[in-house]
Formats: sequence, structure tokens, C-alpha cells
Amino acid sequence: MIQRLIEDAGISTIQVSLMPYVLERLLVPRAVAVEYPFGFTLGKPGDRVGQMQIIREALRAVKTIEKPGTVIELPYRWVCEETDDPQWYDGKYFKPPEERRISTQSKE
Amino acid sequence: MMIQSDFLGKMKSAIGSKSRGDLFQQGNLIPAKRVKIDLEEVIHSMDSFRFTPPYVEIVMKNFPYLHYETCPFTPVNKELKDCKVALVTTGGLYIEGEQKPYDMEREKQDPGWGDPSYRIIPRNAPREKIKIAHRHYNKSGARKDINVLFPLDRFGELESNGEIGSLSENHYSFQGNIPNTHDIILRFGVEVAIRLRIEKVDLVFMTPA
Repeated sequence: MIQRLIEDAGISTIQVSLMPYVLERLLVPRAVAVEYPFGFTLGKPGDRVGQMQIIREALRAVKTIEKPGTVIELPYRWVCEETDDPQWYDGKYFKPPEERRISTQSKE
Repeated sequence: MMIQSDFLGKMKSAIGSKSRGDLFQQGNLIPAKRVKIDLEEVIHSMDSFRFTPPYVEIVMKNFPYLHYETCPFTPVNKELKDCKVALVTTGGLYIEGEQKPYDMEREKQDPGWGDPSYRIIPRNAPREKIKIAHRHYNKSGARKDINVLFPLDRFGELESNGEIGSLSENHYSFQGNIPNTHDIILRFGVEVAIRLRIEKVDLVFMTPA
């Protein structure tokens, strides 16, 4: 992973991640996780306030994370309108909204 | 498992007889301290596969991950308002007209291969010319507003507010989250690490696709 190489070189890093499942298996120094679709890492296009919120949380996590391998899961959720806008659900990349599943994923 | 043994064999042959220490000495890099990790059972409050097509879940759950026990860690000794920040992404960005796009043709023919090269994106690049070459995510949001993946404008605002020290001139973009790049990314990853070190960057903000 690129982040491990850069951290090995002596430069601190932080990642805004969309898949904490993978980070559990490939340990990364610092990460912040968000439940957004791929391609919309920091939120919706044009949403300046939402993007700045996630960036500021990530910059705050640079100082607060002391143990490498920590992933802070942020409470921001992808908010879609009730009427299915075909712009977001094109069948190939997105599925219609389902209930959020809370799962225990242990290291196996 | 057969897949895992081939994978590690390829990685070892790609690195060759040079050790990690030799690679770093070429760029005068100081390796960070490695910290041993003990993971207990993890409970997630979010679902990583909520928005992905079904094949991604199958691939990710059956992938032969490399097993790491240690993790490098460089503590931040400066205040944030004195740090120089650079951005690195794997969204597949490049500048139209000046840089070659990533090799999509070869990816279509050979699904186990991903283009491991990177592109340097300067801070003042015209936003209309930043294009994306990547096959596996929804690019409509990033085409409208590149700050969704690569928040250059947002970090410019943070710099003018004084919340970070400065924003670096050059930022880097890789491509893809594809398995076969692990044995070659060590070359390009080390190049980028050396460039960041030459520019004296203190903090790197990374965003996947």
C-alpha cells in the first residue's frame, strides 16, 4: 500500500477510506472511514460544507490517533431523497437503498 | 493456497536481491519505527459494501491479503498550522494534453493487471483539464466537482484561513485498486515518497476512488 511506503519514509499520512473491511486486513497508520459510494469520497459535488467537515475531522484525527491501525468511523451517512433519482441509481454502480447492516467482522 | 504463494513469489522476484534498506538509502530516507499490532475483535458500525456492485463483495472477501503484523508510524511533531500538506489519490486523474492517460486497453484485455504509474498534478492546474481514466467507479460526481476526490480548492481555503501551514505545489495521482500492482507499486510508491521528501512535505492526505 502506498500509505505504508510514505509513512515508512518519515512523512505522516491520513486516509479517508470507504472500505474499513480492507483496512482491517491491510494495516494502515491512520484512517478515517465514511459510508459513501465510490467516486464520492468527500460527499456530494458542490457540497462545500460537507466536504470541509470531513476534511477537518481527518485533520483532527492526525493528532488524536496514537496507535497505528486505528480507523475512526465517522457518522456521516449518504443521504438520498425518497424519490429515486436515476442520476444516483444507474444499476451498474449503485443498488437502491437498503437497511444498514451492523455486522461483526473479526479477523479470520 | 496456490494463489497466495504465486503472489508472494512474484513480489519477491520483483524486488530482487536489493533489500528495503538499499532502496531507502538511495533517497536518503529514514525508515520510521515499526509498531507491532494486536487486533482484537472488531465491530463495525458501517457496511463497506453498501454501494458496491455484487462482484466487489465476492472479490474482496476472497482476496489473498498479505498478512502484516507491524505497521510504520511517524508521529506528527508540529502543529497543524505549521505543516505542509500534499494530496495523493488513487482515483486515476491526469492532465489532458500534457500527460498520457492510464492504460485502459491493457486492463480490459488482462483483468489481473492494473496500471501502477502515477501522474504529477500541480496545484494551479486548470480544473477543466483534469480528467479521469479509471474503469471501476462512478465518475459523474468527480467530473462535476474534482474536490470530491482531490480537494485542492478546499485545502486552498484552509491555507488562506491559516489552519494549515502551506499547500504543496505538486500532488500525485495513482490509478486503480487492482491486485497485481503490489509487486510493481514498490517502485512507483518509493519514487513518490522520495519526491515528497525532497519537497519537505509534513502531512499527506490520501483519498481512494
